[in-house]
Amino acid sequence: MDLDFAQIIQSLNLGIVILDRDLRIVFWNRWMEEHSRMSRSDVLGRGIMELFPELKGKGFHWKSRSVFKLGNYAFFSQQLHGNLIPLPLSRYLTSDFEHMQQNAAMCPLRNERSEVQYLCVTIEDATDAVLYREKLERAKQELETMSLTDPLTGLPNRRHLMETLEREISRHDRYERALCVAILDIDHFKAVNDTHGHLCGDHVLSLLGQAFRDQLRTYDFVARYGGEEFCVILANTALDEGFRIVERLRESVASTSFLFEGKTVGLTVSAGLASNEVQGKVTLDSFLSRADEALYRAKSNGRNRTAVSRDDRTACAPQADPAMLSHRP
Amino acid sequence: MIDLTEDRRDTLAELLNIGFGRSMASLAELMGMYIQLSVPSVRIVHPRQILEALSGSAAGREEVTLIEQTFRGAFNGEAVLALPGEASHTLARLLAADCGFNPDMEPDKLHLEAMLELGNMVIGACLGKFAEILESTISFNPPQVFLDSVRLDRLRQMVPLPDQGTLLVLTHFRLEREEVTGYMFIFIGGDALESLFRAVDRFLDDLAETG
Repeated sequence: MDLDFAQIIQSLNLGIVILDRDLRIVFWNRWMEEHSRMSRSDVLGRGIMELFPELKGKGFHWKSRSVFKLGNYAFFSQQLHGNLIPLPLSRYLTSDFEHMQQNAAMCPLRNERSEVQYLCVTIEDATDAVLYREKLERAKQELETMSLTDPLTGLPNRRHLMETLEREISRHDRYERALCVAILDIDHFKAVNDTHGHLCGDHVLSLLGQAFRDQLRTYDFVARYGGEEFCVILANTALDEGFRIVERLRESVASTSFLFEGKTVGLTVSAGLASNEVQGKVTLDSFLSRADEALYRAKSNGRNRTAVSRDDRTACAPQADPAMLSHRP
Repeated sequence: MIDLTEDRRDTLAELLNIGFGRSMASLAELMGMYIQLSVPSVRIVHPRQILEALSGSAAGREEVTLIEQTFRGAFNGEAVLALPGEASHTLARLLAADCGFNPDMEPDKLHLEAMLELGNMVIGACLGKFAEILESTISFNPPQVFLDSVRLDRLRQMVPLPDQGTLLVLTHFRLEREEVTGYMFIFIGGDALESLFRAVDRFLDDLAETG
């Protein structure tokens, strides 16, 4: 088969530039002509550094010297350089880039004495790949955010809560710091839904979530735990202080009138509080089930109150504020 | 597992030393500083041992920067340059300040680029010269860098391990003035090993004929 290799090089979907030892252009393939809008006769014999001064800022001179001296390959990655030679984009509709994104390489061309005589620069259009990569990255980030957020309240969801609490437990354990967890549950929420409708219920949940977020310190964490339940993680907080914080949240709910379509909705919450200052190892499950046990007691003692977990009451019984044991407003 | 006879291993180590010796002069000229490279050890190991060698050679230090580059040609393989501790920062500074490699980039990217270029140069020069001695050529893929204080327990997930026996070339490299010590590992596995040995044998045959 009689092949015309020059024709192959001209038809490649790849920019090929050959440079001599003075970095003057001795070959410029058709891809380069088409993308740069400079014909071969425009560029042959001209120094590439003068033609494209931006190459100075890309270490081009250094790398070309290294290829001539060492006979190695040199690379210009898109991730670090964006492009090697600024060429216009080949498509305009889908891209925010000013120039074509490129992966480029330089390799040595040797003469019959095996000395490096020319440099071969290859330029590959990576714009599409970069766009896909960025699109993928954005989608991944959106999904990550979505998978950790409760859509109704915009608060972290249960999954996010579990991950955070797990981390906080071990962090507080490591530094021997006090940590509190409270579960707050809306009293008679079913009645709100039955009386005012589910839209009102949703609205109230969202307002309550925002109110909790606004009242807590920036380093506290509040999540939607379940249907009408919220969970609060109070970092670096001992039981008595945690009790005061949760009581404040409870009182503010009781004293707020929530508005929905011109109607006033009155609400109360019950809260169960637990801390990590108890005997034995505190795990994610044991922590939450103690807060849950306390919540159950707050409910059965008449609602609209905060109760402390039985283990915490035992641990701090002598000094405990009697109010903490079962607080009645 | 392929048997690496003592003769073959000695020849290989010697050829690598010659190749690296030649690349040292070129690197010194290019960088304006003297880089010393030696090949104290050539071994055939099971892939599992590579991780042990990597962690052992990082001199017990926790952190190591890895620059990895695959090559293909007469023999295919993967080379990894490992720079323990602060060495990568020292070298990046040197490259910019003393050697004039200073592309116009943000500092973080510049550090990455300096590591890539250093790895590319050292690996390319060493293996290039080695291939030259064997009268064959090898081509290189773009290098990758694993920079953010790679911990050795994470290496296990990063370093791909082929099933067959792998040639492990352990290289010390040292910058005289700066007392920076690094390591280069060359992994050549299975089939590629056979072709490397054929190239070495050919070289020895040619030597015998001319001698």
